[in-house]
Amino acid sequence: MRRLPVYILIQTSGAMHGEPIESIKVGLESMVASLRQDPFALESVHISLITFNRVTEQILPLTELESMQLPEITLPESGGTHLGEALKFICQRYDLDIQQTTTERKGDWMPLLFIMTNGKPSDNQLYMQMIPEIKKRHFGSIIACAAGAKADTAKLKELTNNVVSLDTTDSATFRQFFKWVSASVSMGNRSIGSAAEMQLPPPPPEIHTVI
Amino acid sequence: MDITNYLSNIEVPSADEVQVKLFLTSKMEELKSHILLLWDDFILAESIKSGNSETPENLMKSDQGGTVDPAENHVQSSQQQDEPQIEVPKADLKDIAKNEEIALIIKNKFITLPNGKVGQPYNFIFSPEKIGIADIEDFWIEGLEPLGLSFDTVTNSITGVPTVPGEQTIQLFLQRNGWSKGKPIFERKLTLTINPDPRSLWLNKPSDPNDQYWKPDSAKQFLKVESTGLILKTGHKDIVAASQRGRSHAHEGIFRDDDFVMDYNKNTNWYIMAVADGAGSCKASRKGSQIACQTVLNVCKTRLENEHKDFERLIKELNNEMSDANRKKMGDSLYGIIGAAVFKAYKNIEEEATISGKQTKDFSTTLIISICKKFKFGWFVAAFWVGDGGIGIYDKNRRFLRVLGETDGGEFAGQTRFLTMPEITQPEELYRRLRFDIVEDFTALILMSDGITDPKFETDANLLKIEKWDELWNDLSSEVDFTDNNEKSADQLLKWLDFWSPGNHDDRTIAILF
Repeated sequence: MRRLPVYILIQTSGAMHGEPIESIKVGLESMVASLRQDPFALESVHISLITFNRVTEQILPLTELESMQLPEITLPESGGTHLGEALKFICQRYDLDIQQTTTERKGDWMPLLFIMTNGKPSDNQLYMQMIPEIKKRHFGSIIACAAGAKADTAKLKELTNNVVSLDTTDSATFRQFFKWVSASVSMGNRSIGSAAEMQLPPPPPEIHTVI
Repeated sequence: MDITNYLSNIEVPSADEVQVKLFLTSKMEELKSHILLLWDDFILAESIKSGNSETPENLMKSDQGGTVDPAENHVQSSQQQDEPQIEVPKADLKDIAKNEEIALIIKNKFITLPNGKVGQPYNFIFSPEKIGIADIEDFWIEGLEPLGLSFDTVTNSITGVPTVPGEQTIQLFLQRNGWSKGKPIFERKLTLTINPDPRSLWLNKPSDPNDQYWKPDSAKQFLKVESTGLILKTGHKDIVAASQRGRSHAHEGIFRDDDFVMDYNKNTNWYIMAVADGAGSCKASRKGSQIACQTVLNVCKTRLENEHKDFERLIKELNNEMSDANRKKMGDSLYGIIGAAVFKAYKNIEEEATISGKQTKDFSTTLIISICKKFKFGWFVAAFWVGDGGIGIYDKNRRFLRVLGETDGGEFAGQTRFLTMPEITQPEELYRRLRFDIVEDFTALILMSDGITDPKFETDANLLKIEKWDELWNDLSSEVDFTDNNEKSADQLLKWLDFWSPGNHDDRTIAILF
């Protein structure tokens, strides 16, 4: 069976304590619940959750939707936005996880990458180095979400054309965002030409697409 | 303050552990001071050394929040209590502290249960020890029955076949070692995820018949070829084809993108078959596949009517001598028939794109074509193939398989090449994709879209394995009666197309000459 790998990268710095992280948890839960209602997703989607602050940690390895359980997300007391490190980790996982089509094996659908961050990498040099590395790999779509009123979208736009910003970090907003994520995931498994890029569904009004 | 007074004054049912826990937590400070006070009493009692050794058993019970007779409270108050009388409350308080500790562990423990699936047997042995809750004598889980499950107290397992999908809440109850009536029963809510049966989730919404490029959600055709005239008595074959909109399309009420055509010319005895699969991501691809099939039919039919004599002479020469020179002549000639048809199909799509103000790539489609005819010396079969899917000549008895081309696959699932890509209609590229063969006889010539090859063959390598074709043919034959002149075979084939294969829910189209 063909897998649709979905990597979700979440910044978990100290600033996320309280409502923001709870909102993300609620958002993730509703995303998983809604994906489980999509028969195609139920048979193809594999999700990996990765958190990052000063360190990157894969809290859920690539797991099929049917058997996956959301793990605990713990927050460090302080922070750091080592997005460069996190992207480096994503590249490593991509190289290990993703199966390409060979004559003997059916390949995965092109993987999707969702990044939720304040958009201010503290390891900027590494971040800039990792951008071409990420682009070398074939993600069906990379969606960066700049969360919070003080989030910065400029750096993220260098990584992907799909940058959205969330002004607030309450659960209603995150729910909307993850609903959109699950809609995007549902659209991820379609026949496309070898060079074509995946189409995303239009984002809900709470989410501002940054052009 | 007096703890027994506290406990006797609040009316908490012994089973309502939440209430008891709340109470104990809120009174933590008072309880602590009470313990200190009792400790002082104990020291005092030690120094007095009274000889009375009667043990008030009711004290044990009262400290656990059970029913207490206020008349028994007197045992607490006297400073003249003897040693055993004081030791019991001390042990009790340790017990309360332990209960609190366990309650806290149970409350904060990250407990997950494996996910279940509607209609599939579930069996999970639950062990508090394994998840780090110690000192438990007995436990059970409630709330399972409405979900089609039950808790087996002998094996300590959740068993049954889930019937209700969703994030379900169930309750875990635990009792500590040495539990007796009146002592706390810990309760914890757990979430059990029951996945729905994917089959139950697929919707079947009709496509919009008023759409510009609407086509029926399914199609079928049977072509009976009579054994008359030039066709040798034993040599004639019928064609059956069927095309079914995939579940993934039906779910969203979108269109069938696949298409097919077939034809048998009674005058020339030539068969023409084509199967096309419009790209799911392109908005007008259903029209693209239709234009491709119709154009191929028209061009091949006309060309064969006009040129069949010359063409058939070449085939006979080829049969006499399979030389490179004859093969080259045949290739060139095929290029003039099938190649022309492919090119015209591309041009017609381009024209439709211009007229409708769309881009050619909006009509992206794969295309598999075959033309064939029975001769005295055997069957001549020629083919052209761009994209995924497959075409093969299969002979069950002779154990013969010839796949007429190569799959155009990408690095990732769902990627392929399309007729509408400009490079495909370049002469060399077009020529490269032509195939022809002369075979004595065969069980079936099969053309199919990737909605069938993906579930049935899985990989490109498998498409070349005769065992996989055997499986396909056995599977087909179990539902479709491939005897001569079976008019019902089209319905049977269409029904067969509904087969279940996890993750494979694309449009399915198959055309069989048998």
